[in-house]
Amino acid sequence: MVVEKQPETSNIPDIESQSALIIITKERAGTFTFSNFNDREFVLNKLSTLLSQYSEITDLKTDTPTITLSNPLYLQFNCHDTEELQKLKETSWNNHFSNYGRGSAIYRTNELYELIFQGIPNSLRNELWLIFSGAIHDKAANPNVYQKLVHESSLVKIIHDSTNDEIERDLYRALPDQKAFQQESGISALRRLLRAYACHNTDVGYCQAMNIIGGVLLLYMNEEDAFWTLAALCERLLPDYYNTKVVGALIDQGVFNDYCDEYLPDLYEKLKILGVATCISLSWFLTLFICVIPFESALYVIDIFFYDGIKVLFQLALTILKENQDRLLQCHDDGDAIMILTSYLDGLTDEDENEKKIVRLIKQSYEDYNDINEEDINRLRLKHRLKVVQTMAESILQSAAKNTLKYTSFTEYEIKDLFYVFKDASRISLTEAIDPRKLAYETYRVGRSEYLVLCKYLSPWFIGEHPEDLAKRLFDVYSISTNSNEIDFINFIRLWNILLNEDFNDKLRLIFIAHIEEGKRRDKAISTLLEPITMHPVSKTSDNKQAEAAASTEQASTSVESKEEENLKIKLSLLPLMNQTEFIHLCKTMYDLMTSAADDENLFHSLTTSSTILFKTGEMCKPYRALEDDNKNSDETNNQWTLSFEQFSAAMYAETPIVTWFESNTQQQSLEQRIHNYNQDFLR
Amino acid sequence: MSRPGHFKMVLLGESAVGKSSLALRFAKGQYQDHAESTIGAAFLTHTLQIDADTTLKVELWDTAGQERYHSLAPMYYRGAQAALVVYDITNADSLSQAKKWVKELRTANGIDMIIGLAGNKADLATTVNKRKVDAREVAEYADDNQLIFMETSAKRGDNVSEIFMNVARQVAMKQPTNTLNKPQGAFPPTKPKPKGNSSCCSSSDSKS
Repeated sequence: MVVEKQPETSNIPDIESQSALIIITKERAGTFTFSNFNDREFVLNKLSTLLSQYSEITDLKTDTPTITLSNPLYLQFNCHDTEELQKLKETSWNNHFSNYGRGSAIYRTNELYELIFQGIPNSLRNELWLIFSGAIHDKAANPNVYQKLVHESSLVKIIHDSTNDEIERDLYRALPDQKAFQQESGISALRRLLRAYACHNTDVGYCQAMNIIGGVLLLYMNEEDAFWTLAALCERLLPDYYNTKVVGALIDQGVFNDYCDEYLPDLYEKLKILGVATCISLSWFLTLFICVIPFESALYVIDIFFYDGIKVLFQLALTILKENQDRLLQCHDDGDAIMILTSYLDGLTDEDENEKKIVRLIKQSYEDYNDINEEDINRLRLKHRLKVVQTMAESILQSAAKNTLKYTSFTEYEIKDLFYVFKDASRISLTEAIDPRKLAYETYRVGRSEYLVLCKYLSPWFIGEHPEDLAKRLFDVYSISTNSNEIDFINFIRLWNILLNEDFNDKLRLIFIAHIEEGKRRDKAISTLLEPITMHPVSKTSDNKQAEAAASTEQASTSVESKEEENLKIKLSLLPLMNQTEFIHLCKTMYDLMTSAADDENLFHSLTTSSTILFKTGEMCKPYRALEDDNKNSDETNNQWTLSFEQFSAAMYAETPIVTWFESNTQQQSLEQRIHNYNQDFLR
Repeated sequence: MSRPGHFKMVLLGESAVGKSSLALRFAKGQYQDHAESTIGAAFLTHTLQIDADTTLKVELWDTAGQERYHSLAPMYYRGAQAALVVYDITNADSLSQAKKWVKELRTANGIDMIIGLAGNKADLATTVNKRKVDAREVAEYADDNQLIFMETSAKRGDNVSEIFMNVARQVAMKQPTNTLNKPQGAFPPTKPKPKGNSSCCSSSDSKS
């Protein structure tokens, strides 16, 4: 289906085609013409997007087992309003329907406001919440999707385990006072709903508050409708509220403060002094007031919220503050202020003069603050999004520095600079989905190509011939722990720590490890590099003890014993042995790395000498190694050319030009200068 | 007569470890099997009789536990003189989360903040294999980090008022009542006396 401008036809001459929209339906070959649109473009766009989301519905042969979904739970459990009142409300609604239509084509009239203010009758909440929230379209566009999601998410391990855990923990804590959620039928409906949603939108997953809101939806809606309404809430009506950082809720706190400042300036000043301005209303917004006012009253808020959107929450929050203004202005401290509000909100049950307090309050909010509109809110949101994100970025920076400091000899200042560059290269936005088990800074990662760019600017080893070769090898070593061909900040900083801060031996070790290519040995080698430092002393000390014991018997050594001692020494190395091919690659890397050195004649001489010696050493070690690998699966290394790290490093230490090269290499350019160069080129 | 002294305290810890239940038990002496998840934060107060002539009003901020609400926590612990970090003795992960909180609090508020560490759900320790965290190890950790440590049970009420009382006493000791809630931070940190009682059944440790 396509939406586009109807070509000129003589059939409909009277309509000004510029502002008209002609819709042709497929089945009842009728043509509908709508004319005189002021915002034709807007409507056309809306229609186009909507229609583009409809896939031509072919009969989806789903082999998902049929799952019995729940009906509105209030039917099964108690309902609070009296029968007569419900009947009365239903009658008024039915009158309205007969006058102004029903379904998604319902007219927005003033009478409708009045009806909603009085509370939607239980029996109509399902229908009206679905229409008002716009979820009805999502549902129609996605037939059978909920059933499929329920099935998928029931195969437990599909979504992140921890998400399921979090959901499970919160099921009984959704609406503990409601009978429906004290029993298995209600609980399992809520479980299906939340799991299905976590599966459907992995960016949001599960956020506390969704259990509460989901619970309310299930009370009055059937399960599938509740699902699409929950989706509408998380994705449109409360944008970014429940994502990984509850950013949306924080942004709206900022917006709310602006409104307070505008409409209730004295009170706002006072609240700022008391230090409660930022946190006072957070849970009001996050739970649509469900958590803070009596449940029955909260339903009135939800009814009007679905109809009129986010502005309702702002208006109502302002009205609540205004109602308490006098008392709040006289508060001595934050505790008093909050107690005043808490007791006021708790008391929103009683009826005065035939009208519920909450109804009066909602009406009042429309009288006083009806100016607040969504457009305005969105404009303010833009401004506050920037602020919130900046604050978060700053705190992530702090946490990155504080948590990685201990692994390196960088200063806090240097780490922050590095993190800034790293974060820039990772191109991950602050609000993207994160792993709840990790600190925020840990979620930033760079892939291979971004990493190579970083190397170009930041690595002292990105010189000589084919510098990418070594850089890639190092990437492979440090990306192993993420399992994803990406490197995270902690490993990035560990690598750079060796490149810039550590001594000659550590650098040699890194190069050696990076050249061990064969699977098992490689894993072992890398694990010595990545394991927390505390892991080493344990094995080392036991080895040392053996070595000491061996040393003490040295006096009485026979030729056999000295051979044993030598074996022991070889075993002392935590690193696996290297084979000949790997060693050749290693040599090549060393040559490539040093080709640009000024003093290269001596350097090359040293390299040649050392590699010749090492080749011979590897040859000579054959028989020893054969002895050592006294048993099983030693076929591969048996009687082959091998080289240990100790042999390699001894040979390198013997060559002064090589030692000097490594020393001066680091000092060529300061880290500060390197980072400066990067920033020059990449940050405007 | 001047107003009674008061101080601000914040409850932190992973979700569903029993923060709200501890707060409810402390402030109202009540317990619910399933407490509603705390969203954002909740506020409670309770007045404690520290000794014959000192009363202290505890202003308790009970926070949301889920990791994604973590970034809101500074709003509540900023300016707080005390904190109670809670973990669940049947969930080892919740202890590492608690340690993370301690670290964060120490970096943000310094060594002067009085921090209690509560290993909650101690009533479940009697059920076979439920306990996942060894109290002695935690006591050692608490000692190293100057935390007031107790295992508590909000369900049975074990050690609940004790741990709050101990925290309050430390706060009172650190600052004369009349200056409370105006943090000065000039006092040297006093070493708390953590209690290494490993079982929940000992109610004898409510020291006076």
